[in-house]
Amino acid sequence: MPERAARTRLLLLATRLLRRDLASGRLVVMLLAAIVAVASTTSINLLVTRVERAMLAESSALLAGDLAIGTRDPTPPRYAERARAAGLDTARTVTMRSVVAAGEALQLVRLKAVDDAYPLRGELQLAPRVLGPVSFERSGPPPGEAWADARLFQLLDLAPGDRITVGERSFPLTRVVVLEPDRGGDVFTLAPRVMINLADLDSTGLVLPGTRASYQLLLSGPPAALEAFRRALDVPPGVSVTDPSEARPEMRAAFMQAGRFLTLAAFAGVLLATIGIALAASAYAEHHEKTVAIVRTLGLTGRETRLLLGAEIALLAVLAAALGSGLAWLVHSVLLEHLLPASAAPLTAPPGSALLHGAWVALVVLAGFALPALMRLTRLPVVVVLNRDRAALPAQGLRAALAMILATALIAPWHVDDARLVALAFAGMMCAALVLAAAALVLVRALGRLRTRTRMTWRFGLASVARRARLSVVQTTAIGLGIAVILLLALVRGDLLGQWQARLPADAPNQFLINIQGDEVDAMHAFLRDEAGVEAAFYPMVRGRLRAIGAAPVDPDAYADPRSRRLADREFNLSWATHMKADNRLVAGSWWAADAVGEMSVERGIAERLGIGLGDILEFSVADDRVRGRVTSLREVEWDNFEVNFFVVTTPELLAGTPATWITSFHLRRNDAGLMARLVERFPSVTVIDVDALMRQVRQVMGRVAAALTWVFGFALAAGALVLLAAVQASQNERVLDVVLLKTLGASRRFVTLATLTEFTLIGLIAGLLGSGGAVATGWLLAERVFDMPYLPDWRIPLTGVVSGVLAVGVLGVAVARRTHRQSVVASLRAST
Amino acid sequence: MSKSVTGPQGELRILDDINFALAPRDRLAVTGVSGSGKSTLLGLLAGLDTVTSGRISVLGQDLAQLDEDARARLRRQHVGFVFQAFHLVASFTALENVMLPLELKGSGDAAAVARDMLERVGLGARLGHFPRQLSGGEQQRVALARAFCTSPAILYADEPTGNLDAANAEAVAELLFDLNEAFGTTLVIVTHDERLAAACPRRIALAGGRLVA
Repeated sequence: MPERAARTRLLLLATRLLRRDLASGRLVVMLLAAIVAVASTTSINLLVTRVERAMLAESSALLAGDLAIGTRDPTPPRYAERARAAGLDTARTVTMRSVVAAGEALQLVRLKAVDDAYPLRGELQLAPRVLGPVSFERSGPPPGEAWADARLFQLLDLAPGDRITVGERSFPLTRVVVLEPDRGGDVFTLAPRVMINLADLDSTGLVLPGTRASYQLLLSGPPAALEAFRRALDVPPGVSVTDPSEARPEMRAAFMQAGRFLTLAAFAGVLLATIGIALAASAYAEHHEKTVAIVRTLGLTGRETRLLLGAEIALLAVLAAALGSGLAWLVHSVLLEHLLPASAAPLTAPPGSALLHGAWVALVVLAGFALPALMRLTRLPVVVVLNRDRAALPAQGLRAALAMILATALIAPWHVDDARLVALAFAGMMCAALVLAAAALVLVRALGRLRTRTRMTWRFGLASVARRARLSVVQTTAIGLGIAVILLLALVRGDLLGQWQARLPADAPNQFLINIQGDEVDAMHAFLRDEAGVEAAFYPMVRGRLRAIGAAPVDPDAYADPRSRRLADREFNLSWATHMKADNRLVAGSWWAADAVGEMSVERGIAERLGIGLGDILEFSVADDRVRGRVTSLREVEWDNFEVNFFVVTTPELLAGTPATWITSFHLRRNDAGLMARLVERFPSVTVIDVDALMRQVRQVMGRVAAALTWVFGFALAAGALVLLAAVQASQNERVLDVVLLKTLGASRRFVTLATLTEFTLIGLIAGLLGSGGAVATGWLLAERVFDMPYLPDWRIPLTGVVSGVLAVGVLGVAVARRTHRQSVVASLRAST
Repeated sequence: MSKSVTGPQGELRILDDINFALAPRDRLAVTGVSGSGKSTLLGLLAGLDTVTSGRISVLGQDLAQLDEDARARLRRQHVGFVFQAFHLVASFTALENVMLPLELKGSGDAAAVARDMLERVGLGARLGHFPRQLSGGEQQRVALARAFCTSPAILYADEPTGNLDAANAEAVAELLFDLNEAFGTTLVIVTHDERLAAACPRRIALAGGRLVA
């Protein structure tokens, strides 16, 4: 028959086989396992991607655009021209330090000139007067007007409408800037800020050749156009490119860690589901020996048989992808919309790529774990149809093992930025499977020897385990792995949530007070104690620019990475201390003694970026002085816990004579809003930074992730249950014959139930023991080698594993016994011929 | 032709120097005790297995010269089968089982032909029944319908009444020969059943893998 017609007929035949096999229940476990694999991975993908995109959208607002190109000279016009040609919107800003005058008073400010298109993303928060009602605007000051933050009004004792002189030009101060979107991470900048229209900048006469200014070209537009523009962008030294992913580090750090864990947990669930698929496929293949032999006798060629089986698996994959993606959609929608309040940021459309990935997972897990088992059927001699006895299917060999490893590698979440962790999880699972199989083999054989010393029902149960030794080993290994993965997920989930809650408690600081003068510290301390009931800790803060690492002067342009360039080019907040803060962790070197001098401690991340190592002498310029010290320790700092922290801390004497201000943080209760007004009135030079809204968002993300973890855990449990079902299904045909034989010989219902219960309880016991051992060993490995935490052995883990193994498998045993009882002896004997 | 297998005890000769020819529409019974090599012979004739030495020519084609896929295509086009254990596809209905060889052959009206065949074997009312819902006799009648629906040039039957009671065996035998007559098929029956063998004009007997009659 013509090739195309033949293929169509095979596809129709495959569809019919699939329909019938699903209806008869033979493919249901395999389908459910594939659905769990797809739903688990897709729901987490959808959730992570959508929340990440929402956060990026929020971060874009913090950047005032989707991308910012920064230069120290006027931005070359080619960038704006290319951006406009690519369909992107542009806006320009120029920022510089300057001095403004109001009458006789002078004040150093950070002057920012913005064009009419600014901001491209986000809004300016403005007030008509200090502490006045806040309104939101999508544009900067019109030409001829200046806006300033509350600090300038307070420092120069100004009121709206008063005039300030900027360079050669006078402006009326018309609005108070409460927050500008692209102030971003620069909230600790000390100088007050003044904003004017870019059209007025030239008339101030401030921009002269050699003027130190930062020029920014902000861009926004469709993601694809932005990506294409960014790919084609040349970034010579002196040019920096910032995208929203670099904004909001504390929020992103919390979410990225959670996203990574969720993805890995979902992957563990998928691996569990693949065990179910492999077991179910093996049982399916054994059940279909005769069917395949019949169609081959009727004239189906070997190639056509492979096509038929391949098509059936492909169709099953399509079904699993559709149902799994549907379930994933439902789950992630529940997580996003119902379990928690909607995010402040609007959610973008769901990414098609996450759904496509679901289809890919379905196809790969079924092709890798089910197809090799089915393909054995094509190697079965056709002449088996004439044999009275069942022919043994060829064992799954090296090729099948390779297919499974390849499939696992293809669906592994390599996109999480810790490939080592993925590889470790993958290798760990493989090793655990081998160790569990070896241990199961030993235990199954040992049980076989016990049977002569036991009562009749136990003897029959033990004999069943020992007689189907290969299958018993596969069953106990699979169930054991399932128990291990579920225990491990439960453990890590509890630990992770506990860590987060500890990191961001309900009373975490939500108000930062900066620019506190040394002589205000005691008064401020007393004020906070009396008015807010808090014993606040105060830290000195000194602005300094890194000048040299060892003998080499720091040249920002020498760093290839734009972020490192920016860090090398900016001023650091330095501090001094005699003791390391409790929330810091020493990762190299040692903290100094109380009487030590000339030592510095550097945060690990910045040390790596700037190439600073233990023993290096760092030189900072602080005001007009130079401060030099040796790096004697590196610290890890949790930036996502909202505590005051510093990149560089020195021994006290190094910064003692420098112009320092102080910083503190405390938790402001919701009903204490009036407190801040009193504080600002009492300490007018102090700057208040309110991070309560930001913290609420971080908490929301954590809550969302905690709920997602519960779902992932639920998927893993479902996958574990399917492994159990598949393992039972694998021996069901033989078991029915055994029971039929026993009933024919006059065995009572009680005897059969007890014998089956014995067999399943033993398998559950071995699997529980092995799974618990696996979970404890892996937990220890993860704690010691990956999370770098002390491992505390918990006797409840093995107990839970063994009890759940015995109960789950035992209950299933009773269900199986009841089901086999319902089968008629005659029908079973007829079906077995 | 000869067929031998090599096992732990060395070479075991299952069929030894079997030689016969069949003309179109011939009806041959192959008899012999269990283990005499009857089923092996049937497997070789159908191209399900290959000879160790000698030659089998079916419809002018030397089976030894055909690879497994070519032998499968030959079966698809020209051969029908009936087995002792019926070998219906358990998950397919009676109608779907009969449609199966027609679809594999590329027949455009598989459902109509299959329905006609099932009515012809008296199962017009059981089209949607699954094998487990049919008695042994009914299952073998479905198998007969499946075997004849493609109008095969040759039909191989392996103990077609071996799993049936006397009444059903008689009915199935009668149906088999009726259809054989109607379709003009060359028939090779492997059987213990003397009455079935007696209904065949040609007969060979095997003992210890050799042709004894």
